[in-house]
Amino acid sequence: MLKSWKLKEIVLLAILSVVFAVVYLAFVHVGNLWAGLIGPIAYEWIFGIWFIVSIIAAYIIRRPGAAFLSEVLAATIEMMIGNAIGPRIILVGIIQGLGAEAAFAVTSYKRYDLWVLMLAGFGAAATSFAYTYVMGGLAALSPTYVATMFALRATSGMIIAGLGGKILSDLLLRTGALEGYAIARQGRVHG
Amino acid sequence: MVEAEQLSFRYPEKQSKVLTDITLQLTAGRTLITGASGSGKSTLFSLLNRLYPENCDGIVTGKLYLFDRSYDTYAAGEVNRRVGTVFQDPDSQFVMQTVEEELIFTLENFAVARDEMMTRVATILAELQLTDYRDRVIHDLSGGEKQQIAVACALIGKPEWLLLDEPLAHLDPETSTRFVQWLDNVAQTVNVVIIEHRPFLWGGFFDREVELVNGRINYDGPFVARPDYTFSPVEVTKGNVFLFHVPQLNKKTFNLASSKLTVAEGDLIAVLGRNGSGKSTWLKSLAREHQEVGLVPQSPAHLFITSDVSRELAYGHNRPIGDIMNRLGLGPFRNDHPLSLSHGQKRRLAIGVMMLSNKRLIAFDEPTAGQDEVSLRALYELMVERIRAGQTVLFVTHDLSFARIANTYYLMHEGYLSGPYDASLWNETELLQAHGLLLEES
Amino acid sequence: MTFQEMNPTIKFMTVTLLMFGLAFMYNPWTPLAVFIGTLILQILFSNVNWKRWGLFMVPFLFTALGTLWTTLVFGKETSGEVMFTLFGNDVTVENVILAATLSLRVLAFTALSLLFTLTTDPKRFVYSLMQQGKLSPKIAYSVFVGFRFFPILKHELMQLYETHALRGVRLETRLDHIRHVPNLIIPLLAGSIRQAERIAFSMEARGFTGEPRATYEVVAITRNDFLLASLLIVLFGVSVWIGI
Ligand SMILES: Nc1ncnc2c1ncn2[C@@H]1O[C@H](COP(=O)(O)OP(=O)(O)OP(=O)(O)O)[C@@H](O)[C@H]1O
Ligand SMILES: Nc1ncnc2c1ncn2[C@@H]1O[C@H](COP(=O)(O)OP(=O)(O)OP(=O)(O)O)[C@@H](O)[C@H]1O
Ligand SMILES: [Mg+2]
Ligand SMILES: [Mg+2]
Repeated sequence: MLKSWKLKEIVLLAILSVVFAVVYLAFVHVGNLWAGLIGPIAYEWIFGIWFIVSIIAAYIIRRPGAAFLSEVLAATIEMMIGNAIGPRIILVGIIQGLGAEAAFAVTSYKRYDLWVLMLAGFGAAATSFAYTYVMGGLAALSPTYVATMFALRATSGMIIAGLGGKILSDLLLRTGALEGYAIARQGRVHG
Repeated sequence: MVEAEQLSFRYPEKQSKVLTDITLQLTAGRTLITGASGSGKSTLFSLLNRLYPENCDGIVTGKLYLFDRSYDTYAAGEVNRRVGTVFQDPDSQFVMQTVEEELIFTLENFAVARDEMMTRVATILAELQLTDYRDRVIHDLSGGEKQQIAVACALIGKPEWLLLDEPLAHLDPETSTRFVQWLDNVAQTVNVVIIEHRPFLWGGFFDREVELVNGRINYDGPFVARPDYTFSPVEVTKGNVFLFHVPQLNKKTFNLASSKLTVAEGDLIAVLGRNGSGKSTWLKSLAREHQEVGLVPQSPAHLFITSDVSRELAYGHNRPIGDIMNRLGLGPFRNDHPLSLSHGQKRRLAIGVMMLSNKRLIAFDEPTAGQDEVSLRALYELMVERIRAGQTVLFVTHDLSFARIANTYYLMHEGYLSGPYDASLWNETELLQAHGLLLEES
Repeated sequence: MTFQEMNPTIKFMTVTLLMFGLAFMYNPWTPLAVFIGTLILQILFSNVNWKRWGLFMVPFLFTALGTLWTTLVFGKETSGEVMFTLFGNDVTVENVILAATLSLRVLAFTALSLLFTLTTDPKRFVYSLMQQGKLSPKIAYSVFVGFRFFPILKHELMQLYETHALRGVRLETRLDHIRHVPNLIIPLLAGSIRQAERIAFSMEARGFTGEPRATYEVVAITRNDFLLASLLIVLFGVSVWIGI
């Protein structure tokens, strides 16, 4: 898969993963304290934060695998810098990454507009929720509660990760730092 | 090694070509590449080591063969095992954390046997008199120190060709003399291509010269030696005197002693000293302590905060910018992103920015590095204007010809600032020698 | 024989295996036994910095508590004898057991991952993944570059403050500094991206092709690695047995 990637694209992917691993970890701590008070639902509305690197990486680099790889790397690095969820977080990353990647795969890696990015946010929310359902034993909770959790997470994925990721990347594009990556190439083709 | 025919190159986000119609054959030996700042020298290097066009989406037309194969048949990094490169910017050419790791990284790429690695590292460091730096964190080194490490990294892989982009620009006079002599030895076995604005420093080193003008080859033939440029001292009229204090500063491997600096309005001051003696550290400290000091750092790109040249110059004041922009040769680039400029252009932009500030003392860290003579003359004029207007100008440089323009001198040695001296400094052989300022008789 | 010296890839695989196993255990005793057993192993075979351990553990204690009481309050309707009522929800024995299982599971997971995180040097882990796990050198070295970015980011941020000060942005109080942060985030990211690009160029210029290569750092596999892995697996076996 990586054969056709340029080295600088892989390095960029790694850098994004590092930066967002730090962000992710910070939000885990925010979420954790809070979760102690109101239970696992505390995470739901900020859950989109944890998908954002997928969307940014895919939107900038525009290659198959960018969404998936960046999320897995971010999770791995998060583990190494001290997320006590440990190796399990890599699995979480894999699952979320697959969800986001699916959205880009569905459009054959051709479209990178807001809707697709939001779909990617939704995809990550869906797969990650499935995981939470199994591992967190959500079957033990009442269905309405579970449904609320999912609705919150999906919205958050679309807004924070999808829309937020696009805004952040577009701001970066304007600084000129992304010349030489696919995101800038697209702009040039359309004038 | 290189065979180019009607080679042209354009950056994707720009309209005009950077290199036009280049027909060039590089053969074994020592080639000098000259040309005004912005004429496309560094761009040409990046094509020769195949970083471009792939990595910048640049548009190439014409033929470019490296070692008898078209450039586009090489995989990334492949040709670089035969061609070592030292880039122009000391700050951005390292991968690992420490000097030793960086050297080992290179050897790993070359698939050198594991038990041979340590000897190779030790040997190259000893040859370049850099053994003390072996365990240092590269990020913390001074500009000149970094540049020397970059040379070590390029050479440790024993390439067939060596591309050096202004290797002396950040070296102190003594180190650069030593470096030229050392390279003279090395170049018995490796072919070198060197970009340089001051061929004078190389004596009779080269056997061929290629000159670029606006991206076209203007001259290609035997190297012709020429004398260095000369600058004469500026007459200054001193005004009120004020005092700056720079506190003591201790870092892991380096201590800066506290110092006092008495400066007069309208004075022109030069600070000289060896690589790693603490000039940049001192300047940064000075600017941090005193708001009335404006500083152009050694890596000028750090100064930029907007996304095009004219906005950068106009930021934070409403004085006219056109004049300075044109005199610094930046007019044609007014709408370009500051970070997409050539090295010399970036440095000049940063200089322009500070020239437009109304700080009492304007300080420049190595404004002369990588500048051609025309730019140096412009810099000289601008400096003179500032001091006539009552500001004080201070600069750090390794360029001893340019340094002559100053009226007052300070010397830095292992963290201790001494001075002021006047122009009679140039007759004090021992003092000059102690600060690495003596060029070997030439 | 310590966990610090253990081959990181093997350690990683073992710990992951145990966690998966745990996810399928629905009794409170197994996670409790794993939790205690992991602690004992960690004391025996590594020097634990208990202060750090505690610091990492605390947030998860909260999570465990949260899990405990949500499972009690929002637990599904189950048949069986009602033990007590909490916020209007009838809590059965089954509910209590489930709640205890889930929250103890959080603790056991945390203990296991701390066993890994606190005894593993990230760099060695990546080397080992490259050598034993066939991780692509391109990714491995990009991650190394990524690690180097922690100090770089910090330095860039300071640099940005200095630049903005030089260019006339006045920040007097600490609050001013904090308010200024949003203006810095985009330049900070943009600067890092540019730097990343230049590092990638340097890697290429030094002849890095991403193909399998010589490495100076060798992370070996020894008999001790298998011994430690077996110990962990035995611990899990015993814990499952306790649960039955
Ligand atoms: N990455 C880039 N993107 C767009 N334009 C660039 C880029 N790098 C250089 N340029 C432009 O190409 C031209 C040639 O730049 P180059 O760096 O090759 O000059 P140079 O001869 O090395 O100059 P100097 O002596 O100042 O280093 C300049 O006008 C510059 O603005
Ligand atoms: N952050 C740091 N930590 C440790 N040592 C440092 C740090 N910054 C600089 N140094 C060391 O302090 C010394 C002085 O560095 P400085 O950059 O001031 O030198 P300089 O005189 O400007 O040299 P040059 O002419 O090469 O630019 C050098 O030996 C350098 O390695
Ligand atoms: Mg150049
Ligand atoms: Mg310096």
